[in-house]
Amino acid sequence: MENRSNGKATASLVLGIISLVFIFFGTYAFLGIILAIIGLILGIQAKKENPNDGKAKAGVVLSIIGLALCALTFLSCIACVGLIASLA
Amino acid sequence: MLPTITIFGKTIAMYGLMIVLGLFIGIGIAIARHKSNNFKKDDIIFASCYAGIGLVIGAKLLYILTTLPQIIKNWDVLVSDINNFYQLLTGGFVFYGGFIGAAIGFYIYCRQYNLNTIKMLDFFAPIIPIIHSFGRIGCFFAGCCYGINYEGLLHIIFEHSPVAPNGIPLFPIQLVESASNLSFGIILLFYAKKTERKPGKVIGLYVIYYAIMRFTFEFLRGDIIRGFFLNLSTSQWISFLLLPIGVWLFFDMKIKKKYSSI
Repeated sequence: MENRSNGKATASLVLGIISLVFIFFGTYAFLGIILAIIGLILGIQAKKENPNDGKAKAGVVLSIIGLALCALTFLSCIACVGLIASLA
Repeated sequence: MLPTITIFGKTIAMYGLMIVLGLFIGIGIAIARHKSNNFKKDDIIFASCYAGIGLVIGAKLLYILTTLPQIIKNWDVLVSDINNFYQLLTGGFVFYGGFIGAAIGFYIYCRQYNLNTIKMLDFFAPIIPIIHSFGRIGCFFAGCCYGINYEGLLHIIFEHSPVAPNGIPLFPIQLVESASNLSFGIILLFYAKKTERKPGKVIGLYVIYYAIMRFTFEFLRGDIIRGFFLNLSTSQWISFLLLPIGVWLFFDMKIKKKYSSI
């Protein structure tokens, strides 16, 4: 059980770090969002299974930062509306 | 007004910035008041993450649904260039989709870790309009979700908006909705302070407020690419459906009986 939790924590940490790298990839930031979401869910599960797991905590924190920063470059209310409007 | 800003040479959409800022402030408020309920700080943060994921997915899905006819009509153009498809993914979100998605996110988290979903929704109900008020300011900066033509007091004129009609006086619906949401969020924070409220009261009150407010404010919206059916917009139809759910949450005895012992 502990090993499985540890595996999830490691995966969360790795995914959190990779998601941070995607901030610099412009249009591919959405891949960072997907990785950060998976990292976040795995990190939360690992932290729930073992509340004192530092690796899981780091994975959750890095995934949240990765998610937020990738979302900053990803989310815009106008782009698509403008696109659809111009196409219609 | 100000669709994008440049920070360290990187262009960032103000809409995205305001949403992320609102989420962080909202979660910060939730953490600050976590002792008022019996939820652990970790549960508040983790449930917020699940809800945040649901919010983005739900808001995007509903946007795609409302613009489906245009997407189908222009499918060839969309798939011909990866940038067009990327714009479809990144731009355009509908609040109601986000609200429903966030509620599903809370439900999944609470079910997974044996927490009371209604109590969790009650806890987060005052935070939702506060986050939403930031989102509406983001809309204002971007020029989307704009109001009807209006030349009266406090009208606004966009000059460099990529979406709103430039040079035409418009009703500042984004700012009005933002102020309305922020005020109601603060009222709900005080309302939720009373610890012996029955489960469903706070979230029920929020749903009632938002359904009525959104239904009314939709008549003051000038943007038309939101999907209409029988002269009512998608959001008005959803308001119509959500209002009885809000009333049921606020008054229903079954919820009170079922959860009052937990």
